[in-house]
Formats: sequence, C-alpha cells, structure tokens
Amino acid sequence: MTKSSIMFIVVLGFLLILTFFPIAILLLLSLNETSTLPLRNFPTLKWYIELLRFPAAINAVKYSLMVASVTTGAAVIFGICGGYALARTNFAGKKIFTGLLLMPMVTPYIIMGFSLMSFLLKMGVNPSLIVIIIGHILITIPYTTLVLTSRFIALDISLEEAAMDLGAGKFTTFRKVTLPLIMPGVAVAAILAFIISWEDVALAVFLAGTEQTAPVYIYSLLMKLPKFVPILTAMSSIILSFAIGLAFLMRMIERISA
Amino acid sequence: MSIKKSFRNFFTAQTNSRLKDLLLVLPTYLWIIIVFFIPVFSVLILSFAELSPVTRTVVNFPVLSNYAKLFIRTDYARLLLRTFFIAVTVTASSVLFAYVVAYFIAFRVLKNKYTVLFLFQAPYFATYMLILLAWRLMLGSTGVINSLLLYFGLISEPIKLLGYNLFSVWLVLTATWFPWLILPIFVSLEKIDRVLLEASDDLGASPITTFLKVTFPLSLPGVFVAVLFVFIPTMGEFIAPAVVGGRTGILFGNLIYDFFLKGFRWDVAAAFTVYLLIITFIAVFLLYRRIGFRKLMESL
Repeated sequence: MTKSSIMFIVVLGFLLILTFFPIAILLLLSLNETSTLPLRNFPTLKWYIELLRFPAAINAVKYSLMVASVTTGAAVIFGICGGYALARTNFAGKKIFTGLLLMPMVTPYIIMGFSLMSFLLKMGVNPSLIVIIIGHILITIPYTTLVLTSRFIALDISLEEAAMDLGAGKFTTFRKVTLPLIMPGVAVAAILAFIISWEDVALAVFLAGTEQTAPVYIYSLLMKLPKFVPILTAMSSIILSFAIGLAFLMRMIERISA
Repeated sequence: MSIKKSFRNFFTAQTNSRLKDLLLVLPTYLWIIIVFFIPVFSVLILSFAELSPVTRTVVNFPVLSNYAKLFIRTDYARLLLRTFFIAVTVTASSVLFAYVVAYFIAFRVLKNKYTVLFLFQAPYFATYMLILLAWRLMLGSTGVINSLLLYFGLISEPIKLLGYNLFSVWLVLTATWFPWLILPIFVSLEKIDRVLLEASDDLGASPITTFLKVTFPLSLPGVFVAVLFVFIPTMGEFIAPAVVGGRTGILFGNLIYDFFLKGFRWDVAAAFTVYLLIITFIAVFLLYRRIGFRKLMESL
C-alpha cells in the first residue's frame, strides 16, 4: 500500500465519520436521560414513552409520507411525458422548454417559497398539505424529467420501431415496449422525487399550515420550544427506520437497473 | 398535383406532429408557469410597492424604497456580504471534500464503486433537518463534543468556536453538502480515458503534473455542476443558520424569512428576494454556459 493510498483512506474515514457520526449521536441520545453527553441513566425509554403524548409528532411523519408519495406519483408522470418528449420528439419550442424546466432546479427554495406563499395568500389560498404538494411537484419535475430523458435517450429505438413495423400503434408500442423497458429509470426517478420531497424543509416551512411535515415539525419545535428536544431525538429514530428502509430499497433498485 | 402542394402537405404534417408532441410537455409548462413564474413575477411587482403596516394594502407604487433599504441599513448590506462570503467558502470546502472522495472512488476503489458512493449518500434518507438537529446537539458550549472533551479532561473550558456561531454554520453546511457533490464529480472523472493518464505518465510527467494538466481540466464540467448545486442553495440558506448559527451566524435568507413572517414587511422581503434572484441569475449564467443541458442530465 502506497503512502498516498493511506492518506486517502484516512481522509475518507474522516469524511465518513463526519457523515455518520451525527446520526449515531442522535440515536444514542434518544436513549439518554439528557440530550447531551455524558450518558446518564442509559439506556432509558423515557423519551419514547413521552413521545406517545405527542401525537402531532407521529402525524408529522405520516403527513411527510403522504406528501412525498403524492408528489412522487405526479412528478413521475410529468417526468415520463416530458422525458419522452425531450428524447424522442421534436416539439415546437424545445429550447425554451429546457430552459424553463431548469429554472426551479437552480433557484433557491427561499425564493420559490416566499413567492408562492405570498402569491397564494393574496389569492386567498391558505397554507396546507396540498400547497406543500404543489410546491414539491414544482421542485421535483426537473429531476424526474432529466433522469427519464437520459433513460429514453439510452433506450434502443429499434425495439420500438420493430413493434411499430409489426403493426402496433404508437400508444400500444409505448405501453407494451417502451414503458416496461424504462421501468428501472422510472424507479430511480421516483426515489429521487421521494427523497427531495421527504427531506425538504426550506420550501415546506413557507407552505405548511397547521398540518406539518416531519422536517417542518422538527424545525418549528426546535425553534419555539427547545425544551422538547429529547422528544425530537426519539422521533428521529422513527424517521431513521423509514430512512434505512428507503435506502435499502433504493440500493436494490439501482442494482437492478444498472 | 404540383410539387409545391405535396411539399405543403408534408410541411403541415410535420408542424402538426410538432404541435401534437407539445401536448406531452404542456402539463409541465403550465405547472412551472403557474406555480413558479407568476408568483415570482408577482414578487417582482410587489418589490416596487409600499405596503401600509396597518392595513397591508398598497399605499405607494412604484417606489424604490424597498431596494434602498439594503443600503440605508448597513447591517442588511453586511448580512448580504457575509452570506456571499459563507456561500463561497462553503462551496470551496465542500467541492474540495467531494473531489477527494470522488477521485478516490474513481481511481483507487476497484470493486463495488457504487456501494462506496452510496455509503456517502445514505444519510440523506434521514432528512436534512434531522442531521441539522444532530449538529445542534453536538455543537454548543454544553453540546456533545464540548462536554465529551471536558469529561476526558482534554480541555478545561468549552471551545468557543464549537458554539452556535458563523463558523458552525460553515462547518455544518460543508458537512451536509459535500456528499451531494460527489456524484457529478465522480461521473466526469469516470469518463476520462485512462489512456490519456498513461500517456502523460509515459511522457515523464509526475503524478502531480498529470493531475494538474490532464485529470483536473478534464473533470472541470463535473466541478462546475457541483459548484452550481451548492452555491445557489447556500446563498438562500436560512434553516441551518437558524439552527446552529446563534446570534452571529444568521444569513440574508433569515432576513427574508423574518420579513415574510411579519406580513406587513412583504414589500421589503420581495425586494430582498429580487436581490437574491439577481445573484442567482449571474451565478447560473456564468456556470451553465460551461455545463450545458447534457452534462447536467448525466450528473443526476
């Protein structure tokens, strides 16, 4: 092993610790009497029992899953249509469309959050879960469309031509040939959209009403009632269990689609 | 039947299909226009209005007073400068970290490259807010890191730098951003033809020269994508500063968010949002020209 390899491994190890250490600490503290070290009365389930008295925390996770699921469904459909159009057709104004599509991707969330919510409030629409979904669809469309465009480009067009030569119509070809073939790409796009929605806090704090998604709930409790932080550490392990499940699912799908 | 007529038939058929294909992207068009453009445009108009603090209605239009606020109150201007400074430093440090990891995975890891890549991204399923919460507990004068160091007697009083301050904002943003930037850099490093590196080596270049003259210039597109990905959100960041910034760590975004919460200051918030938008435009303009649509697509 060369000197530079050892150096690389040290740096990599440090960066991995930087990434995983915070989460480990969170789990550790959720089983501790206080939300700092050294350990006191460890391990205790006190905060998990306390958590049961905060139904809003559990609901927040539920709302997060709901918002992310609906967002994913919509963004994937937008992405399939847009991706197909970008890769396979020469529709009018393609250049303008790609420019427009990238806008939400390169705009800070705070600009979109403030613009959308101040506009909707003026129109008489109040913040709610539906407004969060509307915002999340906006920020996920560019990602699903880009991922699916590259999948459509990579797909061998002769398969579709063969289906059409054999007498299948445009729609049948799409449904029976194209769609099954890009299913792995659809899955990657779906997971990307899900994560973006699931982890967003900056846009959602503008758009959330009384029903808050999990990140917004954590943020507002942390800012307004810091003494409830131990509850949040207990809540975080619920989120983490979902996260681990999601991570495994994503890895599996990536493997299959690679 | 003239050639002219059949040509016209052909032409209209093509235009028709081009318009029909437009239907596929129509939903996306509408969504982006209604949810993005119209609201941003309304903010642009709002930024020239003066709202009454009591009735929240427009009392004066058009005025430039909202824009002037940035220069009248020096602390606002200073906040914008500080935000720019933080965005530049966070960009530099997180791109550097991401580059090291991407380089290692691309050139030194021989098996399971994608598993190592994935390892760094896994924490993101845990949500950004949760990681921020963790950092909030780790930093601070009574936080995990300081109390651990005190406990082992390594320090006699809490390290101030690890409290809630601007340094912590930089640290946390760097730590949370760099994993996202590994992929675009990795993609452009993976694409480099290894023969070029061997050629450089054969011609007597040292590893460092090879890196500086061959590898690094060829990986620049990925670096630009990474810069775009981190710089823009950091300019508008307001969650991390609120969580770990304490009194000295707040950024320009916090100002906008505060003005938004106080309904009657929407006019100022709008003007400040426009300032942010202009900075974003300049950054995108400078970077996107060097990236292009295709590169961006490949980096996801």
